[in-house]
Amino acid sequence: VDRKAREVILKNQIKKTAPACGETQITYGTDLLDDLMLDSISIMQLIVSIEEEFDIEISDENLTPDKLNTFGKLLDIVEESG
Amino acid sequence: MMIDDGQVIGYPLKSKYTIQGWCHITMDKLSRLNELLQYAKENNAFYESLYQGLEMPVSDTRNIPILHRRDIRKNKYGIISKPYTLEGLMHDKTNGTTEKIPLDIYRTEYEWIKSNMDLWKKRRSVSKRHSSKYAFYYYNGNDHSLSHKNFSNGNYKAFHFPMMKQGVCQFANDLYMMKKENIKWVIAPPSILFTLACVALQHEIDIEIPIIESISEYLPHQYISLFEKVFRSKVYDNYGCHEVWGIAYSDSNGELRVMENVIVEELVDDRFLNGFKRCIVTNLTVKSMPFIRYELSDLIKVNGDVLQTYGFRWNEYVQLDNTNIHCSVFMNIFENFDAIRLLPLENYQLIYKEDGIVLILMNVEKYLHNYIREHLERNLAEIYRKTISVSVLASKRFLVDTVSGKMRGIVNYYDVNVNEEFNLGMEY
Repeated sequence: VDRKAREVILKNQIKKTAPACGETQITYGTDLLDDLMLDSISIMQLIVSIEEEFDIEISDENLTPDKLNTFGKLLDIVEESG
Repeated sequence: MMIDDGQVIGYPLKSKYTIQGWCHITMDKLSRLNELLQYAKENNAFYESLYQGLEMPVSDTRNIPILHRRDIRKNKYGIISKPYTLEGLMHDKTNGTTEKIPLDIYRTEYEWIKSNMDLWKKRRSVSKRHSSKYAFYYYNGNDHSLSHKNFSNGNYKAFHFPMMKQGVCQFANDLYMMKKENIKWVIAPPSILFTLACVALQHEIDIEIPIIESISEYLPHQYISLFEKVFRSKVYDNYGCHEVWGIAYSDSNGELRVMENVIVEELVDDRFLNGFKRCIVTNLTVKSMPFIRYELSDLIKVNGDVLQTYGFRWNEYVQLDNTNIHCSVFMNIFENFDAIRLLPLENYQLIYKEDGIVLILMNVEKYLHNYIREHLERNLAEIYRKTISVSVLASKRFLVDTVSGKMRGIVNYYDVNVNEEFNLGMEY
């Protein structure tokens, strides 16, 4: 799966996890906490669903809010973990 | 917003108290502590005032003043760091267990997520598969709402159940739901877990919960055996409090290990002769409302990064007419007892009324009960020069204080829901 495809899948996962984000345009700089209002439960849900969807394991050192706060960073982590 | 300009109600250390445990602090934690101290000095009105004259960098934490609950109450706004406003922070309240008045706590969303994720990482290291299928019991005060919150998405299943219920049967519904939803991990205080175990036995609900995580209360060893048997579980202990979330977490050997973002120190109190000391914690990551050398009411022992908890808190008293008896008195009477060594919330709990004490005994042979009662009465008479009435009840559980919803070593009789509590395993 190339980066573009990952990006689309990841956006879908985020929209499933945070339906409140609605039609918000998600860009690399979108802040998952501030713009999409993800809380700790939503982030944990998102991580589990990403690991399942991409069949990857996100390492512990990446499980911190400052590494997961923007869509771009999350996409990078997914790519690294693949 | 009113700012109280960092009014300081710092407490000078009393000479009879000395600090231990500080020498266990690793260089990494000490360096992070110094960064936090610097930040607090520059950005927080309360700490700026409290730390005047504190030489930096600090190499011996004993030079840093201790933060008390009262300091937080009296400096409600000054203890919020300057870059933050109350409106921009998430608000939480303690249960008010310790001083019957809840304490306001403020944190950024980021800090909140960080502390939750740190705990989640611990859980993933225990079992990644099970950690995403959990049930969590939350404190709901007097709101006996029956509704639970459900957060499900693919393999992630989380149920948040209210702790306070109108009757024990409602716990049966929770168990049926957990079974149906294939919940693998339950996070709750031991008193709630005990009720769940009793209900599972009474209603013959056969449910396997591979991981049980105990929070908020002292975890009696007897309870661990029960949970392992009824739920076929491995039991983990998560030691923390509202103010400092996730202080220590059990490893696979059952030892409580201090978390990476927390420093734990011991404060010696000469009233306790058994090696347990008062607990001082520092959260190294929270900057919006920093908890630096914050004293808890718990008693602990620290050995390296291994921590041990105790069934009493240092500020617990039996309050009778004209006589207040500190918990250390009972500790000293029962731990130096030649016939049998009794531990609070392992073997006994004290329920008091104006006119006497009910000693609840668990896991103690019946033929010893009268002997124990006489031993306690005799010792109290020697110390207080008067007769203090003691009666003994055998029990299969310890009682919960309905004010706080918590199981404590000492509870006021009027704060116990006698009918409900005594129905579960009480023998007369």
